[in-house]
Amino acid sequence: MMPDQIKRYAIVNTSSTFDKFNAKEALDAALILASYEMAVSLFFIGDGVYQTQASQNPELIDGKDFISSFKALSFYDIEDIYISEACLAERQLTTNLAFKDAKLVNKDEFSIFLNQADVILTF
Amino acid sequence: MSSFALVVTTSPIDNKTNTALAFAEQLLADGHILKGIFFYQDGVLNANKYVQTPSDELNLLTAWAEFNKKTSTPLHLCYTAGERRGLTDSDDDQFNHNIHPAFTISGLGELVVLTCAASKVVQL
Repeated sequence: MMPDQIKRYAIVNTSSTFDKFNAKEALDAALILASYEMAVSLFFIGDGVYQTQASQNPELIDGKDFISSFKALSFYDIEDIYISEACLAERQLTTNLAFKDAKLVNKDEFSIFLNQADVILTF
Repeated sequence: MSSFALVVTTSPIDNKTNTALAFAEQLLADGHILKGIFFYQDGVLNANKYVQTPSDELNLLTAWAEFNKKTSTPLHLCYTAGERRGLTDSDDDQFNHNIHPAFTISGLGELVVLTCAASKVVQL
């Protein structure tokens, strides 16, 4: 059954890439929402910014490389991706990102974009 | 009065799950509509009928089942997340159906339908 209206969903990632299974289950939820033609945006804040890095070595822990699929998010029409610039900087991470297109935003911008969502799910 | 959907992502040994149940009960007591509850991530563990609780603590499984019986609120279980955590509805050799019947086996598609139908979504 397809929902009868379109809502805007924000998927907020606060866990590092391989901290429990949060990152993968967040991505699964985002892709399903997008496949139902919902408007989905992704947010990365706190340790969630670790997920944004292009250079990761999941094979070292026999992990699945779901990060490489971030490049394909535009095929699902997931194009609004917001990363906390301050959280990246605090962790001394690079701006070599796993996305084709993502926006580094300050705290105020992060809040503004997040407030545009109808539904916020945090992982 | 609003229509709500709840998303429970915490396991039965997380006190936040007690809060989720109390919140659900309060919503109905206050006259709101609760479209359903979606169990995802470790929240799916709430559906495992073999989980035991010490006798002097609240048995959340019994409590969820009673809530479902009393209010007919659907308790949707994400089966993919459940399988990863040892839940199965199979009765084949080496499997034991361990999902409590109060829960409805669903997928993430139900998360979309449920959260879309409600005017407010609360994740606990």
